[in-house]
Amino acid sequence: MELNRTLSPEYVSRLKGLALKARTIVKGSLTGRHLSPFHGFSSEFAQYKRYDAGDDLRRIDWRVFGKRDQLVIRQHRDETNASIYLVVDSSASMGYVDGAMSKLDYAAALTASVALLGFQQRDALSLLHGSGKAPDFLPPKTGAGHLRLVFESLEGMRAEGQTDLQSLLDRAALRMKSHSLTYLFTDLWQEPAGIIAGMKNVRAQRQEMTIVQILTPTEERFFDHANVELEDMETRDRLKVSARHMRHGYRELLEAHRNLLRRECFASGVRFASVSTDQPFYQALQTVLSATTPGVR
Amino acid sequence: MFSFLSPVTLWFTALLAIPLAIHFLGRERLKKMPFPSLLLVRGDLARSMARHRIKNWLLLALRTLLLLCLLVALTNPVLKREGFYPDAGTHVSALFHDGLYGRIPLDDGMLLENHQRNRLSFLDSLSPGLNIGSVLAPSSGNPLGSGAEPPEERFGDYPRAVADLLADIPTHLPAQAHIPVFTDSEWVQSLPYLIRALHDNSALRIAIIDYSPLASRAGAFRAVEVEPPGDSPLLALRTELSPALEIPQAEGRLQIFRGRQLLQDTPFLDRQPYVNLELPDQRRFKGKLRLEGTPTHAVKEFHFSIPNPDRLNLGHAGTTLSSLPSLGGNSFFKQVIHSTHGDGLVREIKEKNLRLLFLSNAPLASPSAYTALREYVQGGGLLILGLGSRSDISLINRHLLQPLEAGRIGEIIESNGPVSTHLASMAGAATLPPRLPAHTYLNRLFSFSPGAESRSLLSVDQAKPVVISRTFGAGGILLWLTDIDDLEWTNLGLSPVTPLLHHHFHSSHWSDAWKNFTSASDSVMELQLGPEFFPPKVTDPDGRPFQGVSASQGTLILGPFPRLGLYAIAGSHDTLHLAVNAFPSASSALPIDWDSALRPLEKYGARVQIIPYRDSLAALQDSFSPLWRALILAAILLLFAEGLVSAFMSFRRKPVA
Repeated sequence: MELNRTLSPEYVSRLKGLALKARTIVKGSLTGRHLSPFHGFSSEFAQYKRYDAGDDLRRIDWRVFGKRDQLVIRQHRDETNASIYLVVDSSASMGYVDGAMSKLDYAAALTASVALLGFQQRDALSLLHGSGKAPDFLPPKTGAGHLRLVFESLEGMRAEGQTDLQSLLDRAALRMKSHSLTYLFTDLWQEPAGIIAGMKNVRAQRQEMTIVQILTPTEERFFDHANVELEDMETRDRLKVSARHMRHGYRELLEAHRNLLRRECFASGVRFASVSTDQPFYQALQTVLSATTPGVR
Repeated sequence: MFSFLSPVTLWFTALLAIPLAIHFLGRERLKKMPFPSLLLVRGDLARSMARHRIKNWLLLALRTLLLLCLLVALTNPVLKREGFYPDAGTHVSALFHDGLYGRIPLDDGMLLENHQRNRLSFLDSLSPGLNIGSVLAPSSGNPLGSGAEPPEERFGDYPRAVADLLADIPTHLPAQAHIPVFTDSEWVQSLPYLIRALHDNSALRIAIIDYSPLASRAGAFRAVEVEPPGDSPLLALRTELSPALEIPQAEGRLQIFRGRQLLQDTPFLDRQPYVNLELPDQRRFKGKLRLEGTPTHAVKEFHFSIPNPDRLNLGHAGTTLSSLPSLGGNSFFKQVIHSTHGDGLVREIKEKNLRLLFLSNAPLASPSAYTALREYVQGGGLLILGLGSRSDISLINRHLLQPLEAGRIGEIIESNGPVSTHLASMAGAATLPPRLPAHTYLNRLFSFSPGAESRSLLSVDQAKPVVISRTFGAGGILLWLTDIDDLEWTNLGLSPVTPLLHHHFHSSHWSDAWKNFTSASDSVMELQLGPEFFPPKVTDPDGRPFQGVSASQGTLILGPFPRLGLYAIAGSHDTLHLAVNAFPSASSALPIDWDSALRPLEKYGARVQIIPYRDSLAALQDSFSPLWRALILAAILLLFAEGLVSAFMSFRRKPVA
């Protein structure tokens, strides 16, 4: 896949109006758009502090001194950059094509969009993709050169292997710095237990996590044909089904699967977004960025 | 073991291929599709899919079975039972149902035609060597062929007919044929023909189902007579049932139809049912008598005709119009001409060709009107005169009664006392109660001095006439001497109007010669007719000229009649109709002594089995009805099962959490 074609100049120019904003406090070494645990020089007032020797005299609040005859200094919230971990599930099921592009291509385009946003606000970008135990990893760095590496890595993704999100997330968690942002792009075709375990492991690293489920319209609605023989793209298992007969039940099960994961995400403070490959990228990106915040730990 | 009465229907079992073909051809080819994951599809949905597949197969099987059941039911499957089919090795069994005239439920006038052709075509339709089971012979037509000779017996020659059937069998059926013969007549008389059949084919097996205790169905009704209305506007229909007829007590019903319309349905109480029928709208019709609820289920048709009623116009003036509808005015009269005043009616006598006038308390204004009335009566017209408050007694006396020498009306008197009647004369006018009331009374009676030629039909107190009759050839006058508007004039149980009208109507229009005629088809009858019917022009029920006519000196000799139905005798002014019905003569003694009857067959080693009709009926019912009924029932159960399967399968689908 060539991201240059997918991410057109018009699309990229529209991204300038968007921003990645951590809802929690993240740690970074550069000044950026995210809230830092340290006090610094932003305009956002944080607290008063008694003056100690060595404190910057410019920070003394003379009005308080006039009223109370106490030397206090005003402390402001510092802003910093963040590390953004972009985790892409590239298992075989992500290679399912329904329409112009596969789910993996769609995930790559979305990931690239998020990476661009991060780059614009000087965030360190990290990419991890694979299906399970041996993912490819790019450590978090800033700079255009690193962004290019990220893009090249996204373009080189191949859909293969069986989905094992628990392994993928475990391995990602081992490499993560705390207080970072993590985006997982996947179709979530796995038993929920493994997904939940991996997700909790990431959250244990104090990551602000967003899970983006990417499905195709056919996966959402099931087939229109009367009878089909389905072949599992990961296990190669086959099953003859009457689509007409089981369509309704399939949709119910899919909704139940999604709701279960959504509930677990909510319980774990993970944001959850579901997009379909027939959605325009910009709309999908807005969905991702506006995913509900379940709460802050 | 069972066979089929309509084996041709078995060809339709090929129809079973249709649902199968639809099922298999209609199945959509499986399209192989990659799918990201079967995670959701594998569990409950896969099991539901398996159930769905099983349900589909089950429904296919049920529907195929359903169709099969219906198709097999249409073939009329028959169980072969021990005794009913004595030889299990029979190659062909042909069941000849007696299709003779006695069994014909409806005869359409085709008594002597077509049966020969039907019979041969039926036999030709049997394929030799085929194990075709039983076949019902056609039950229409007459076995005697279309000969011009009148039948030897009135309803067909059973023995010869059966023998004809048997005679054809050896040339059409293989040697091992087994032939149950159903008959209900003096079948034993056909034994010589049976011997001949056995001589031609010694391997013939014959089962005779003995219906003789039931007597002939044709003979169930011995006679049917339809009488004209008496003192009420009802036809009396009498019939008599054969004494040899077996009829369970208090079970049968006698039904009378006109065409398909059920006119009467009455419990069968004795062997001479007497039924009153309302006057029919049609004056000629073909009726049907049917015994229901008996093993015989006898049916007999009869033809009925009211002779020439529509040539009569009735003129009526005065009051008591309410009595006229009860006469069946629209049935018996061509036209009823009403007039408030008698003068108007008198003026229409010639114009309307009136033959019957009824003046009930109707005043006549002028003596000339009375003169016209007098001339009308003397010319053959019938006049019924009822007196009342508006009657001009003096004018009636002077210009009508005295010139006719009928007598003279006097003052109104009150009279109570014993009523006496000239029964012979009065019987023609009305039916009096069998016993007159002990204390009778009459109100408002006009005194009357009868003329020498008058006859008193009814009188009170030994000397006071109440109803007077004076005749002039075909015409006459009937005088009612009470106040005709007083409907409570007496407690005799007699109305002053209806019986008298009937009396005059009957006496002039329902003579013996014109009676609804009951005849056997080989009977000859003589009619005394006027000169207007000569030379005779007689047509049969099909409207073709009837040849069996001879005439001499005012007497018309008709018969025998090869067809039943209405024969027409055309006169210069009118047409008479004869309803020719056929009823049997006395039957021979029943039941048949089979041992002695079959003795002549012994030397042929004949294998003949006599099955009492009760057993055979039971055997038939057991073999016909339960099987196809069971199949129909099975089909219904299958339908029910299909519904259950569908419902159960839908119910079993677990709801997804």
